[in-house]
Amino acid sequence: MIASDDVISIDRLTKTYRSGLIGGRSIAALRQVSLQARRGEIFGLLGPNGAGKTTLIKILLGVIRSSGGSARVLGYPAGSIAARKRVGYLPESLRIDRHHTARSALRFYGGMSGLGRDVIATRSDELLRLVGLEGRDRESVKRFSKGMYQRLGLAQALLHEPDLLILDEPTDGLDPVGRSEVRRLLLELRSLGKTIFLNSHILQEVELVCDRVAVMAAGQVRGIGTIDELTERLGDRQVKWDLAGVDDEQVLGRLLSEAAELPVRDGEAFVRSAATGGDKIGGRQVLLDRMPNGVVRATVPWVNQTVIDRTIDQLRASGTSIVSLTTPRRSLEDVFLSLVGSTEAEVDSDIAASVGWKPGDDVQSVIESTVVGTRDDENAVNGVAR
Amino acid sequence: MIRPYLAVVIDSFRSAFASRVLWVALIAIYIFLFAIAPIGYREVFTTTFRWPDFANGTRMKAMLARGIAELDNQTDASGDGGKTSAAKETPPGRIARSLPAELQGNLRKVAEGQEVRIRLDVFADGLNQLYENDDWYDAEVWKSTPRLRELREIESLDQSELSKDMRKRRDRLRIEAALPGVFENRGSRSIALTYAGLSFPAVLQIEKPQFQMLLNQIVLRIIIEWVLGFAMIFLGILVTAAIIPDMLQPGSLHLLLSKPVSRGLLFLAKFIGGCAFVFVCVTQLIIGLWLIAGLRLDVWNARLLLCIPVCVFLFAVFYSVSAVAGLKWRSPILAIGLANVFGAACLVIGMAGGLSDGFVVERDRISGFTVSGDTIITATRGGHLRRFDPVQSIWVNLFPDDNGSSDRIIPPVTLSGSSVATARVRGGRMNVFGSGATPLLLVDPKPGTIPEPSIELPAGTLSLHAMPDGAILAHNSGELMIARAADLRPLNEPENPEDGQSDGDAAGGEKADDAKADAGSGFGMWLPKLMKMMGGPSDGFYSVLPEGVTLTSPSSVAVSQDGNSLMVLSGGRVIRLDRPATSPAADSAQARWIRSAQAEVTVPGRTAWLRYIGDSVVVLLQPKNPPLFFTDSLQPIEVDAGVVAKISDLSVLAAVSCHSANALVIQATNGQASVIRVDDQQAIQVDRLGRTSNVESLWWDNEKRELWVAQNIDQIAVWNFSDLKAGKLPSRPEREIRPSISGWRMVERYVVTPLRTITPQTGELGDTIASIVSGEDALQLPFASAGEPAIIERYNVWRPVLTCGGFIAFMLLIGCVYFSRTDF
Repeated sequence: MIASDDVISIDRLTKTYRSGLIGGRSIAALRQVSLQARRGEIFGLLGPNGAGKTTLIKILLGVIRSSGGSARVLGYPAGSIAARKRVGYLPESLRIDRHHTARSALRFYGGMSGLGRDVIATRSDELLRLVGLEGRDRESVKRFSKGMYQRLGLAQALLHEPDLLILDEPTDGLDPVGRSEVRRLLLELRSLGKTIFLNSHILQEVELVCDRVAVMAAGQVRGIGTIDELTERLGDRQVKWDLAGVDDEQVLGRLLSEAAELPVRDGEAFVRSAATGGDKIGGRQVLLDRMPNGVVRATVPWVNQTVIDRTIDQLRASGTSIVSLTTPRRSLEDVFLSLVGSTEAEVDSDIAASVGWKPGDDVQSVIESTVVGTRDDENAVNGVAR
Repeated sequence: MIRPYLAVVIDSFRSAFASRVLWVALIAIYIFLFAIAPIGYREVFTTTFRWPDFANGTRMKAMLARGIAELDNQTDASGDGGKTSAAKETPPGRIARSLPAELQGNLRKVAEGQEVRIRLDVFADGLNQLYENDDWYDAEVWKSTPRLRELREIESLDQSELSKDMRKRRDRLRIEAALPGVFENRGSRSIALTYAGLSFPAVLQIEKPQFQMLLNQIVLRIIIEWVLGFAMIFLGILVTAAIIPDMLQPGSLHLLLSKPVSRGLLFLAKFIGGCAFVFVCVTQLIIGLWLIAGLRLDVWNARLLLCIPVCVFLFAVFYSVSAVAGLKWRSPILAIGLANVFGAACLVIGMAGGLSDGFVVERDRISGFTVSGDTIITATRGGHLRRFDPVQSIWVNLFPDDNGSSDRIIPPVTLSGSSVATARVRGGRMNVFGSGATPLLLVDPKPGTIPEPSIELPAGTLSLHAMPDGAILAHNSGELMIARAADLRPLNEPENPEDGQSDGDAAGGEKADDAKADAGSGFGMWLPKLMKMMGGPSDGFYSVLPEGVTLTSPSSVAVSQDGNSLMVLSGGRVIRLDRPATSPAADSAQARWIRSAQAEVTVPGRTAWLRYIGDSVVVLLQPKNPPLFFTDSLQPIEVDAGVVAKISDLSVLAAVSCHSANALVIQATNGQASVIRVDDQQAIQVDRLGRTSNVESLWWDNEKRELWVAQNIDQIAVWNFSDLKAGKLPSRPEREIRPSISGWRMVERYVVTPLRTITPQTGELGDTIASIVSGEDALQLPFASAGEPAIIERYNVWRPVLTCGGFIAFMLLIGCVYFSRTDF
């Protein structure tokens, strides 16, 4: 289903590179990729090297052609001249001919975008100021640092006031101040209604500016959604209790399990585990760990706030003293690492299991089959898709 | 729409200007221009003799030898201690006596009949020494010599007013007057090149118009070919080879491709931009050359500027290879390498084509032909004489030892007795006189016969003309001589006893009588030989020129339809000669013809054609000059300016009179034929003959009113002019003869020509440049000096343009398709 406000709409996109004399060897760079970027959002594309991010961007820009599926940009077929007219692009390793100054480069790229000289002149002044190259616009780019190149690249991408910006590592080579400025600029552009499709390796940066993120690996989208959706997946969030006055871990374990309505088999006992070195005992989902100061740390899967309230009541009623209660979230990096792995087998089995994903499945179909449920369900599913 | 591509092209210009190599190239260009800028010229009198000034060295040798021998004989006979009487002196004798002793000795040996080779530069040095004093000159002796107007004017001046150069000029003209028929037609002024005001030692003995032609047709062509066609293109490839690979760098290409542009057009824009570098360099160099040629040499030739696009076009051929290679392999080194390999391949194919032209096509190219009955006899550029075999549809060589590529075949003519007369001048392609005596060859048109040698032709015969009475007229550099029909028989055929003339008698004329008078003495024995060496009548021929008239260059002759009149061009004069009235006396048949009219004309060039149009109009044709029309009594005829302009534009290569059709057909250097018609009111009309192209030679059948056109190397087309008098010019030939080809001609047609068609003939673009600069469509080689068909190098103007243009289009198409369909 493609919503009308989708600026980028990709459906089961595949790309296979062929090589050899008769194309005998082939490499699948994209495998059934589906995603949407919505109008006015900053969409982050994450993934390790070789994940297929650049291939995806090249298809969106028309640099290469897809082998299957479809991709539309701003309602036009990806790569069409009509689509490219409304797209600004900053490549990862921008290369500007050495005979240019910043201003002449903007004149050239403005001309390439079909702008008139007057428009280019006016826009150049604005953009050079915006990216911090004001006063250095007559210098040869031969003297430019990497950061200055990036700023100039950003300026040329914005020159024709595109509706969609595709930025490939926009802060690469920038110092912390420069990065901060770029982030500020991106947020400002978003506030102006621009859609930004951002490819970056810097997770913190993505976390700071992106509304939604897709994580790619091995030519597939393994996760897509808001940062919260990715990190707040139900089956992944845990509650940590530090409890004092615990005499019997077996009793405590059973209490916590029953309060959280976790299934406890008849006769199931919380046993001391050899693997925990004798300090830990645990059942199927509740883990107890006695700390040196006598406090017992209990780790219990997050269910909802009602369960927590009920558990507090029952603990207090049993005379157990609650030293602390925390509900820590997984970081984006945790999610990223658990999603990408180096192969499908490395995908976090818990996350995969939570959405019923198996190696070889199409992630989008899993998403779509689940999205018919409640909003909470949808969030949960979006948060764990591969 | 076009703005993005314009941006790419403009960026390429900016890139070119930012290139250090461009600035190095520009500095080199300006050094070159500054180096040649001081070259200038000044006009000086033509004085010093040089070996190319001699049109007929053999004649000069013979004349001087005879002169010195006559003086020696006179001295011996008078026995007064070496003093000779002026009455017996001749100008050649006085000149010979003043030459260096060694040269005099050699001339005496020649007079004694010894074979002595004297180099022309030795003669030139000897004559130049005559400038040191003028003791050799005697006004009384020179009275009988034909003196040009210029000489008369100089002699009329007060001698004290003459500068040293004018005195030398006067002396040269006196020497030329003393030795008629010996010298090439040279202008009174020559060009002395200067450099920064200092004269070069050598003087170009050409007049200003020829100097300008030389500059336009040869010098500028060479400069453009070598500096632009070679150096600049190589440099251009070195500089531009990186443009496409640079564009394909990911950080650059992805950004470019993200812009709203068509990939194909982007590639084309980059290609055009790549040509910007060469355009910038070429424009400056050619404008510089144009200014220097104009300011320093007075050659304001705006056509030179057209070489700018041609040179960029030539570069585009190589750059198209470099661009596609760069696109495929993304390596500038590989692009440069492939462009060079491609250039070498073009060179090899061009050379193979050149060899094929020279050794295969040119050998078969018809240079002249005649038709006797149904038999066609042709002479070819390769020195062959051939008969057409209609059964096998092939040309059959008539010489058993048919290997004389250095021989010159005098275009055959059909005699009234249906036999064909021609001659093979051994070594005649290099030297118009050939080596040794040249017999007239009589060819029986019947199959299976071979040419039979007949009487000896006068030395240096350039052309033969069949007379209606069966006689033959021979034309060489200094004489017009006729051999009677009765004397034209194979040597092995017994003499007709009723003829009453011996070969010795047939030598005829006063000169032969002189020889006989001297017979018995040692000198007298060799006099006939000397006469022959001078180009005088050989046995069987007698001179028809009036006493004291010698042809000077340029010369041409036209025979009237009835054969009783000759129109003769000699230097600056047109003379009408009429056959003398017949008388019972045998000698009257060999009498000199009578001058009945004469007109003074200006002939600036080396070649001109005098031809009849019908019976009553005579035209003097000169390449790129207005034609002059006369009545048959040499009264000028006023002709419509449009017609004159039309004919002036034709670069005449040959012309044949169509007497019975009141027309003249012109073969132009561009290979087309045009018909000049005269109606009963003497109104003149000029039309192109159908779609003729690649015309090699023309022949007119006066009885059948058919124009036979040799074309496309060795094919023949026959045009029927029966209705021409009624104003109907045929639009197509009545029939065509297309002989079969075999052997190397097949290879040439089916291998070499297709190869040359599909590969760009970059080398031939030099022809295009030469044609543009000179405004000519052919280069006439300086060989024919007697108004007869010249050897020309026809410029291939369009073939290289088409092959190169086609190749560029093909390569760009490949580039566009590849660039559009490839994932980067």
